[in-house]
Amino acid sequence: MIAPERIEEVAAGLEAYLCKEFNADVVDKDTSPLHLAAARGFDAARTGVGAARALASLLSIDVPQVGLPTGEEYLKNFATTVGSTVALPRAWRTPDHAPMRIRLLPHEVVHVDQHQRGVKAGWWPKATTHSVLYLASIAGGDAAEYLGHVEADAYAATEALRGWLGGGRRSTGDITSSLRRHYALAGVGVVVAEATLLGHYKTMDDGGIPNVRVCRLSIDWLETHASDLKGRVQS
Amino acid sequence: MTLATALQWADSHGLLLPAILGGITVAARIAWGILRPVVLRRAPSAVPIIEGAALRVAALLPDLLGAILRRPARVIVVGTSLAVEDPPRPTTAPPAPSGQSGRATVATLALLALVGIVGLSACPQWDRPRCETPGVYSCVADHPRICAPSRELTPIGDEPCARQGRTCAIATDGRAYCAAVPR
Repeated sequence: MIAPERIEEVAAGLEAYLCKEFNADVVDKDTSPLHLAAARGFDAARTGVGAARALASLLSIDVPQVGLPTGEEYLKNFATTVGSTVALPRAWRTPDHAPMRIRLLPHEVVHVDQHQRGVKAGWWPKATTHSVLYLASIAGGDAAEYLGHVEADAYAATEALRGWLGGGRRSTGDITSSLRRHYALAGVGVVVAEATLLGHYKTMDDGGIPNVRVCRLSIDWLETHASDLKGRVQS
Repeated sequence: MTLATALQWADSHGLLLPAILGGITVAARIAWGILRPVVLRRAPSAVPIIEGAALRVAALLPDLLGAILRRPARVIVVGTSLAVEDPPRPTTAPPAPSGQSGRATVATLALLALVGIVGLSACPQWDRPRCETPGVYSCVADHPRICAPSRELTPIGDEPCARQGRTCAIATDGRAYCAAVPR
């Protein structure tokens, strides 16, 4: 049995290492003005969906249900990365959430790395955010495929870390289903995500780790600094 | 003021049609701003056809919606922009909302506009090599790839397999992966 304080110490150490290596910041979502504004935006959007449904009823059009979170759910239940800043719900900073942070922080830092690579490649300006690709993905096949690619790489990192800690991997179908549900990922994006995950899972079945830089560096760091946790943290 | 009450207010002031047309115009412009680079790359000749058709739809839309909503409205079409003159207001209209409530609507519109602008600026220019058969895996430069539904060769992961002392290989089930290097 690993003491919760030890897992917390490892989570903090991994966070400091990844922030330094990828020039990332981690902030509390609950007190971030940007995310508080976004939470208000989600509440407004939910009202807007309701209003659109009311308007559509005037025109006899059915508006499908949209699974938007409330502002509070957005703040409490989701990690969010904007540019190079990762925002985590403050409640996740407690020792009982430390295993979750070890699994999820590398996932978010994968998105930081993807954002920075896009800036270097001239795909988007530094001032913008990788997250808005979710909007573009709704309209364009290219963007949906890109989103499937980047999310599958990030989820593969999560699953590799879950496996390293001692947990069982989620099925690829479960992950792509949540991508459909939570990110409204279009069909072609789901196809790319599933194919990408299947490739990464084959690598892990063969004893390797996904060829995702953040994942490789995270597991190298854990092997060096926290080998006592390997295979012993089940949550 | 919520969007629902704003729409009710617009309806009671004879402004429902302009509100709908404005919303459709903004949404169509955002959608086309996102799609246009893709269409321009894949079928450049389709761009003027689509934009010409959109102009015709824009010209017809006010009359069409006006007929559906059964509200009289005088519409002026200027280029692709639509300006709509108010019909006479009903004399029994409820009082206008307070300025305090109105600011929420302005903020919401500003937020939506910002999201649209940032969304357009973030559309990726993701150039990938062409491939023949969607769903087929391959190894290129020691890096697993998948032929995407768009027939563009899409990387799996973000670095070559050699970084972890492995090599890209195709498994018997067809999947590309980072395999242990044979000794």
